[in-house]
Amino acid sequence: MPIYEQLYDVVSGNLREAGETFSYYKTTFLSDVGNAPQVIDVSQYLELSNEQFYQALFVAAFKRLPEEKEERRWRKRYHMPAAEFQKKVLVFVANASVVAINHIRLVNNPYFAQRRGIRYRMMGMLYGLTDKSSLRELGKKLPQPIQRVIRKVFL
Amino acid sequence: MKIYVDVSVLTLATFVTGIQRVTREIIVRLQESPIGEVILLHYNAAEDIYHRIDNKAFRNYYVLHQGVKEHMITEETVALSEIGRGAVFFDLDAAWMCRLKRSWLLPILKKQGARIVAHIYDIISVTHPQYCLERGVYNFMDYIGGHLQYADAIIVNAQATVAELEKLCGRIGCSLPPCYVVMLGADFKERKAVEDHAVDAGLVQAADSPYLLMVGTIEPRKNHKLLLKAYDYSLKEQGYHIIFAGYMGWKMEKFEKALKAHPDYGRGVYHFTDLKDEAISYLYQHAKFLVFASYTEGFGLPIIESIQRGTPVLAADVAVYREIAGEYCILFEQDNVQELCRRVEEYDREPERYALLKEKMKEFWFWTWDMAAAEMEEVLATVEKDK
Repeated sequence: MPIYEQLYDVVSGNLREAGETFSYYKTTFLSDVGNAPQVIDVSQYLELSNEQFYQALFVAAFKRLPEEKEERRWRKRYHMPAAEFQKKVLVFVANASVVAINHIRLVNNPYFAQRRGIRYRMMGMLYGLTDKSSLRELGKKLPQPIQRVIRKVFL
Repeated sequence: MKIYVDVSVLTLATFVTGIQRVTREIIVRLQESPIGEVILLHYNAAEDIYHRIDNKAFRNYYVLHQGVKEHMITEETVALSEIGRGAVFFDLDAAWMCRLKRSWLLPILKKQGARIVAHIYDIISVTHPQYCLERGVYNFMDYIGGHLQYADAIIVNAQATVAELEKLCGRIGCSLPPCYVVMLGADFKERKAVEDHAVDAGLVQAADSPYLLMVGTIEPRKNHKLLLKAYDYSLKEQGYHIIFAGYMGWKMEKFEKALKAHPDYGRGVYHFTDLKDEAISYLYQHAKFLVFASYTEGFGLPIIESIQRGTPVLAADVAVYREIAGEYCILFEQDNVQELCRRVEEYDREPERYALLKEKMKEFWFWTWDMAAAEMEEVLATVEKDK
């Protein structure tokens, strides 16, 4: 882990020198490193601040940073008690189509047991249909707003 | 020896350029080599398992352009437990874009006794993250961190990258795995001249006056703005057009706006996208110079391709360009518009010097894909022997 921490410092330092800031928090990166592809071990995230918790969980599940609009919505809740906030974030993540499509499991979750019912399985099957380069080529020809929606749901 | 290569990113890519192209060229040669059995892997995120890719179908699709890409991926699964002693896991593709994190995968393979070899094209995401997409930088940190800890060997394409890696390892406190420099290949086939009627009329019109050309995705690190500045500084007066051939990439909104708002846009300043190989060849064929102004690169394949086509190159004075083709390029100080324009003017004034340069380029000794693949095979064999 020290290597990853140092790497993060080098990259964020280089960005700073170039007059930019790295939007990914160090806590997001360090809690993400070494994780199995379909597992989010919630216990690793519980000590983070609300803001860090939201970003780290979001990146672990969606493999991208939240968009400004999404983040703004959650920013209003950063003042909430940690347990309440964490549960809300976890419910949001557990219900996301990306999580179902990629069969991501939330383990060591102290708040609730993740339901992996019909929807979860159906979305998983959908992945089989969408993991096709021909569809990807077709998607690239669609208007940008539609591409953005598709990316949000499937990628 | 069994050589496992994760080609998930290549198989999902809609364009085979850059890293995907290198991956393809090396794999088709490894498949023919007696070095061992090549097992190509496609990661299925929903099933969390590797599926084997049919070697013959891969070849048919990528070499003979036959068949359907999806049909390459077979139902046969490859469990990670299979990749152990006697196996080499060769990370050749842009695997940081794959959902299977190397920080998780590599320690498992290492524990099982597999040897690990990584092809590190560059570490620009670490050294110059401002030129990259944040998401790519984030994923690359995981990838490079994994390989610096677990790789038995690292293949790079230039000594300059070894120097960058050494510097990085010094900063993060780890030892650098053995590094091998293997230059990338270039197509060696004889190219036929492309006639005017074979390309779009817009290209013919743009190429009607002498012009400077930039080829490749328009992204911050490639420094396209320099050529636009040079056009305004004196290239226009000198009677030159400038042509950008490539997709508009990330973080280029400001440049795109400036380009389209330029009074000479479409009448001296041109931008073409979605060009076929033939059209690119046409542009190379008629260009006075290829301009390669990037701040940093892992290799700079367009320089080689330009020299191969007999088009002189004006390149920024960057360590890697000096290393791969320094004496065949005209170097100018990075970001120095005046010097770039001065160089063009010099060669305009002395046409015999320009002719000499074109003549000298014929002596350039090209590294072929066969050579590159053979050197990589040697690295794989060495690593397997050293176990």
